[in-house]
Amino acid sequence: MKKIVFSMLALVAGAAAFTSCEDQLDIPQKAALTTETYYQTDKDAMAALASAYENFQVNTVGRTTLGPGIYTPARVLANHPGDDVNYGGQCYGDHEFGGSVDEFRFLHTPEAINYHYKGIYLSLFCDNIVIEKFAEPASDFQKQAVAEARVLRAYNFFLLACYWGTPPFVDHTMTTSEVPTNSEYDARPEAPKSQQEYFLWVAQECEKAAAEGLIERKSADDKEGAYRVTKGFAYALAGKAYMFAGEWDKAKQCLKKVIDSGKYALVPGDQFMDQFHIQGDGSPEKIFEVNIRYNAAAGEWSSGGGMGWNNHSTWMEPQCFQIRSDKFKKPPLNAYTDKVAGWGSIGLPKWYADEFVENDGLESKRLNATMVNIENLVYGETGIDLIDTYYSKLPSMSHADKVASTAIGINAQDGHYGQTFWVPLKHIVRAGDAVEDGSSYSSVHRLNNIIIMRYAEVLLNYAECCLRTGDAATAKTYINQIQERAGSKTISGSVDLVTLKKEKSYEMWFEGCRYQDLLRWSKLDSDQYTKDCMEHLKKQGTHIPHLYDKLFRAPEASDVDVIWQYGSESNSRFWIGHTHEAQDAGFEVGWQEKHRLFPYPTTVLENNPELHQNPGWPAPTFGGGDSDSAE
Amino acid sequence: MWNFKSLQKPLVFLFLLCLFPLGAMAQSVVKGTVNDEAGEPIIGASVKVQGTKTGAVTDFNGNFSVQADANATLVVSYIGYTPATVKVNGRNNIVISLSEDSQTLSDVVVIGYGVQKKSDLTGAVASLKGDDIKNLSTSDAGAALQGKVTGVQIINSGAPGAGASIRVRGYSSNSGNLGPLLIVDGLKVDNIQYLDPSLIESMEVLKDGASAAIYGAQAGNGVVLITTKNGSKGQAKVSYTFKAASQSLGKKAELFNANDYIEYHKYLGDLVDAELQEKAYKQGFVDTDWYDEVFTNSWSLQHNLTVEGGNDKGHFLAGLGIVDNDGIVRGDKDTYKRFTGQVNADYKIYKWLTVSSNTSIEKWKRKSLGDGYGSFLNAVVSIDPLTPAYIYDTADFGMNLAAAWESENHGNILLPPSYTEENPVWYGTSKYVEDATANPLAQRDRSNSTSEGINVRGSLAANIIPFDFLTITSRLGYRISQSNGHNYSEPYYLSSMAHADGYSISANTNASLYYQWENFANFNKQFGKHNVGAMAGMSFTKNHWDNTSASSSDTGMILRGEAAPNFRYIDCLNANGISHLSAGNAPGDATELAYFGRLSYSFDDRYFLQVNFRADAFDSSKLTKENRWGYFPSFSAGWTISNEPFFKKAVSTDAVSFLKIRGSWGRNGNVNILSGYKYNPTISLGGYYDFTDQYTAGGAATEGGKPSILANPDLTWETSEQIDLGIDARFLNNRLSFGLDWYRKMTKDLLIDMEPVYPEIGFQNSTLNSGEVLNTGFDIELGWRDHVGDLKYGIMTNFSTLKNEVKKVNAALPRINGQGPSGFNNKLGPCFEEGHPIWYFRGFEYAGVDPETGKALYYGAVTDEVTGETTRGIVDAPTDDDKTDLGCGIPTFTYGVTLNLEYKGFDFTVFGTGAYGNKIYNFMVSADRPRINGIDVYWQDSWKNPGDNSKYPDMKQVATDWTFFSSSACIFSGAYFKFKQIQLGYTIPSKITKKFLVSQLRLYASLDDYFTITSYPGADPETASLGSDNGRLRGFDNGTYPTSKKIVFGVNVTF
Repeated sequence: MKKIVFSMLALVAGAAAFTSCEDQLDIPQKAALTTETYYQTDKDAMAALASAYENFQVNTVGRTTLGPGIYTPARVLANHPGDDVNYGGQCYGDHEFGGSVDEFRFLHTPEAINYHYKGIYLSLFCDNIVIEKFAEPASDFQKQAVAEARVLRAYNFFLLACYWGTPPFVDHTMTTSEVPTNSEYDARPEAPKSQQEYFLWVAQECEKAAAEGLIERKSADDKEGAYRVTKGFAYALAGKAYMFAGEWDKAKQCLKKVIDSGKYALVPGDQFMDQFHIQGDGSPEKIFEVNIRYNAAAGEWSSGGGMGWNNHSTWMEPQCFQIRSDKFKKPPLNAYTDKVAGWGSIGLPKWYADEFVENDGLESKRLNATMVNIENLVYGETGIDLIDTYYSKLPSMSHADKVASTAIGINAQDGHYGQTFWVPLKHIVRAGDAVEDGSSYSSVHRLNNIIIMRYAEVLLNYAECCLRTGDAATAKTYINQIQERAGSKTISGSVDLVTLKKEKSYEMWFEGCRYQDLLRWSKLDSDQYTKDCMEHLKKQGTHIPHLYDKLFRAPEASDVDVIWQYGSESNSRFWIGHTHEAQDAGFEVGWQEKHRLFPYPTTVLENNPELHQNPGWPAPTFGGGDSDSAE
Repeated sequence: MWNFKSLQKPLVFLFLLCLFPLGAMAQSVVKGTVNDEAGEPIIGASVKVQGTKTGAVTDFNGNFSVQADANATLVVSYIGYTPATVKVNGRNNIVISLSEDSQTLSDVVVIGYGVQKKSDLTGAVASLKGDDIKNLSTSDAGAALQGKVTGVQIINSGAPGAGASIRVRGYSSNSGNLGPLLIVDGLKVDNIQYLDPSLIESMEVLKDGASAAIYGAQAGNGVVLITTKNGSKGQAKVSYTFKAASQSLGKKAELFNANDYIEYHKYLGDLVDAELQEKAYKQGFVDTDWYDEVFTNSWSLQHNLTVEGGNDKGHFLAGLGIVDNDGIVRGDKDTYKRFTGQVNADYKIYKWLTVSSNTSIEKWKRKSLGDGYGSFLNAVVSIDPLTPAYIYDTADFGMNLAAAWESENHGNILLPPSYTEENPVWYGTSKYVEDATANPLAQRDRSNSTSEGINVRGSLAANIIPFDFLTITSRLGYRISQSNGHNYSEPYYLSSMAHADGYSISANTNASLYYQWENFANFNKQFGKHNVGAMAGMSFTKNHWDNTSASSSDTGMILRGEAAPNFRYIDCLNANGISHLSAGNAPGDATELAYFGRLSYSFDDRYFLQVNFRADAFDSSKLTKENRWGYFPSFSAGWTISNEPFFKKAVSTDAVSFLKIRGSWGRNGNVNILSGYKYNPTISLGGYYDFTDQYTAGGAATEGGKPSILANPDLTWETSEQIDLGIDARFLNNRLSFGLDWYRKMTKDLLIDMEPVYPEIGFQNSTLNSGEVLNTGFDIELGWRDHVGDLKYGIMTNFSTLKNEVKKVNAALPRINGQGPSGFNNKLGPCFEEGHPIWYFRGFEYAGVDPETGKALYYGAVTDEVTGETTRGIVDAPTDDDKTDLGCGIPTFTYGVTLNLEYKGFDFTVFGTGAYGNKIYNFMVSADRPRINGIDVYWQDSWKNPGDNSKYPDMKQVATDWTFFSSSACIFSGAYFKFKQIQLGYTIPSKITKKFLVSQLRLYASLDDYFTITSYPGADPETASLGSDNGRLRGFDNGTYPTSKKIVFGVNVTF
């Protein structure tokens, strides 16, 4: 008996002392490679570069992984502050991400600024790691990968410099102990000390990359040559950056290289509209665009270490842009957009549309690709096949019947917020834009590429530099090319900077040029046009149009500044009334000098005493109390 | 006095050795019966003849016979009863009644790796016996704790099969794992939802740091120890219980009805008669109460059958349980079915060796419906009352539907199952507003989601007792778990916001094996007045899982067989479906190793001391090799003043029967927050960019690779330290009992997932240990038990206060702005910030109405134009900086009251629980879609004319203003008191039932969750909250599964 007891005791004691259990605690991580041993082969370089492109696509120009739901910060910041864009939606308060930027009424960092700033740095990290890990390239491909990453990085810095002036110059992968500071306070000699130096750095970096490893687009038909960074894009960006730095001759040299390469061309006017849809992907006009591809294997939102295809697309942005269908008795554009019923987040100021019509004429391919008249839209007489076909299902009606019909029209009592008689069409999704391989993925996505640079912009930038250096003749050549291709009724006999500015405003509407151009021009030029445009900016938010249909809602005495489409109630069905809800709510609206630069996001400043706020914006109280006072 | 017999009730060799006939009949001179106060026979009572060595033990029927003189004295004793001394006085057939020993001092409670006399406790352990919870209508052991013990909050969901969450002494962290460690019969389990309350012998909640410290790094959120029943010694018993609960919708939210809706929107000016006419609204005919359309009465049935028996050598229990709950949503899309089997057995093989086994087998199946943006439950509260549930004419189509109906395939318009071409019927959708839900019934029918699984949980143990003061235990526990889920959804179109363009199908299979091996020895010996106890042991656990998922979706048909119901499997994917197939699988492992020990000492039942220590190590997926070990000590002491001679001299035991003070300090950890090699920078492959032209070249995307995380090799677990001071007292001959604990629990090194301090570093998140949360509170229990003649009564109450405060987040991050419910545009969100309760509501502070203009006023920063000083004053357009703390969804005070009455065969129980101090943010009313429905309280008490002294502003001015709908005007008190149970039972006298071979038969009827007292205008404040494990979305209400009230009929039969 005792024997058994003790043998059992020994057994259990032995078991208890069985410490080799600790080996069991070492569980190797599955599906993981270490950072130390990766980044060796061409395949690794290819993967690292793919990550850099993916992050550029999603975090720089896309909706970013950081959280904005339905919009892309890059597009909001590049376009909404422009004088040629209104903020729309269901009503005031809807789509604030655009509204607060559009009307210059953000007292504190609006979310789009926060997300764009952080998103660009997420993207920069992926550029820096390629550049660092393959600093000594072991093959031509590795050399090329580094060069492409350098240009992506340069573009990231270009945006940062435009928006924040002298943001932290993170040209390497940071350690957690480094404290970023504005580059003007950065002790390193290579850090740009002013916004202009930043632009120069971008331009020079692009030139270097072009000389050190970038490939050239094979021909104007080489679609793949538009989906990645090539010499053409490097020089186009270098030219733009030199232009922003006021280095006209250097800008011209770079831009001329793009023009002379013969790898790019303006597409015919008939195809102008296609440039903003899937049919235009990789067209001869595209210098660089981010290639969006549906990828079932990537999953919807995330895919291992990368992003899912929802993140690759701009997701619900097309839905934001689309005309707000619930304002209409019969939703317009339904067939065109394949059921994407929109929220109407962007609208056109009346003055801009009128000027565009006046310049281009109603037959202009460019005009008809950029915007559509409310009457044509409601009556289904746009000349755009899908829209008109959809309306053709209405019982056959004469135009006169349509004008008097309440089966169609804007039936919302509060009108269509932020819209005037012409509504945007350029970026409205087409049924085919969510289709790939014959399958449509979701009505709220679009799979057409995100344009980073279009040849038309290169020509217009070149023309501007020519004008600034006294070469109006060359400028005219290119401006005329643009006008002719557009099908505009105006083909300028002589050109000056105002001609160029107006032409660029029609050609490049909502393509990220306008606001930065205006900021530049307002410092360089004193022409009346530029002054008028700046005045428009200062009045943003003071006069919000609502587009009404008199058959559903006639003007009332309380309506402010009623404008009939054709001058009077008798000859017009649609009219505009005006409100200023943001002012009513106590906001100061409109452009001020401080808006030349965006503020650094409050959440970033609060944690970093080394980061100095831009002029005119409130500095945070460190330690992040609630007392961040309004300016 | 550690009692291992009741600790180790489990036993091995289950089935075979079950029921041993006990035979013990002897010669008779004096015969008699021993009964308890209720007249039930006491089996196994000892009957001794005073002054002799003669004695006997009572049999199954409580009968004994013993040789004794006619004038002898019998001493009758039985554990748990006060011994009785009876003179024979020449009688035969003596009936002796033993009364229960009310000195519950001798109660034994289970503590980690051992047991302890309740009177010896030095920590804060709440203990609940199976009897306290046996007739509740819940089938979830966790939910059964609600209102029964102090210091424990239960978060219930109304949905069938949704398990209750348990919070012990507050919310200690920002992480998603705030639930206590759950141990059932020594086995660590992942939930206790499977455990039917009727199988539970006792539940102990180790609340203070010292008691929990023996479980170390896993015990930071408290420990719940459950002991399941085992066969009682004596006569074999077969019992059957049956419960049928008729469930119906509990409290509804106060939504607009059609007339009020029209009146309201006419006032707002966004609805005019012309529109109603144009849309052919039939005033007076259509006024849809969506709650009534969606919910109905349903039944929930429970059966339990238990067989048990035991003798000196062993015990056996086998139980079968069936739960069949059809939730209150019309149709069968919300159901919970569960079948459980339990086999517990132990057997004493030798005097020095006992083996035991407990095994539980569970099979479950659940269908459920979701909450949140665009969900079925959101639809119930958001769709307007002018829209009928179903329509029968295309003229009644909602917005955009007519156009869709005309297009190819009818534009994917979803058809109700009853649709036929001859008798068409469609889901009604709104003509007035497009929203993300469109019609709750359609959302219900569209959902085809089932999950089911099998769990086997069990343990095998051996106790070796070489000496009576030493017990060595080796125990192997295991869980085998397998589950499957299936989902299929068709494309549908109900409105521009509620639609899906593609088919999707998914299936997943999850399998896991968990085991733990523990070896520990307990020593306990009395040296005179000194009692010394010691325990030492080790434990190793390993969890292995291997889960596989597959899914496919596309706008083209993905299944063969036209996706008929029997073709809705991954097997049936057609070529298109296969080309869109995605799948996932990677097995995983987790391991832990621990050493632990305890020393306890007491002197003369007056002074008590205890020391615990545990060393824990976790595997490399959680911590680096350098950081893997953690050490968790605790100390506690107690002083039973009432056992002091001076006290006994001074105070009568009738007045103060028992008085003890105790105090403890202990450290615990929370390791749940760590997983997935968070410290380790690796390359994660994934993501893609396409350098090729997919249209012409048929190219393929290039896969990316980049560092996965910002590495932090210093990561460690959260650590909490808790001080507990307590008093236990009983007065007036033990009739009045009182317990009071005060605790202060500080948790530090919270694992914070935050944006890097400098986002320029290029990572979205970094994980670091930072942040501190303090929970303090009082746990109070007060009870009274007595009887007046045959009427026995008792009232037990418990109260808990909780003050929860974040003491620190991070120097660089004083506030975490948490993500609010996704899909909504409100500006009020949950925040985690220093100086506030965790995840408080941050929004604008409403200051009332300007009575002249009807304008909404708020509190905000006002700068004095003269002095330039900024103070908080009244503003009409507050900025984000004016947002402030508007309260929190966590109650600061919870309480429970149980009243029991027994009279002859009748028993009556009233049991209620309540909460106070919790706030609810109701965001059903939407500023960006003012026409969706919502609660009507604002409108009912809103400003309409100058001079109105109303609570809410002119709705015309705020209907589209998120500032108002993100302000404290939309925050309501979530305080409530709920009658959880009002139960009347009757036990038919055994004299009658014995004729039918039934030893006990109890019938009862009960109203469960029937009455709720609250001022909240939404639905039931107890459940009106979106879910999220870390408490972030506590109190956010835009439609959740409502609670049901139940009428329960039940039968308990024992043969």
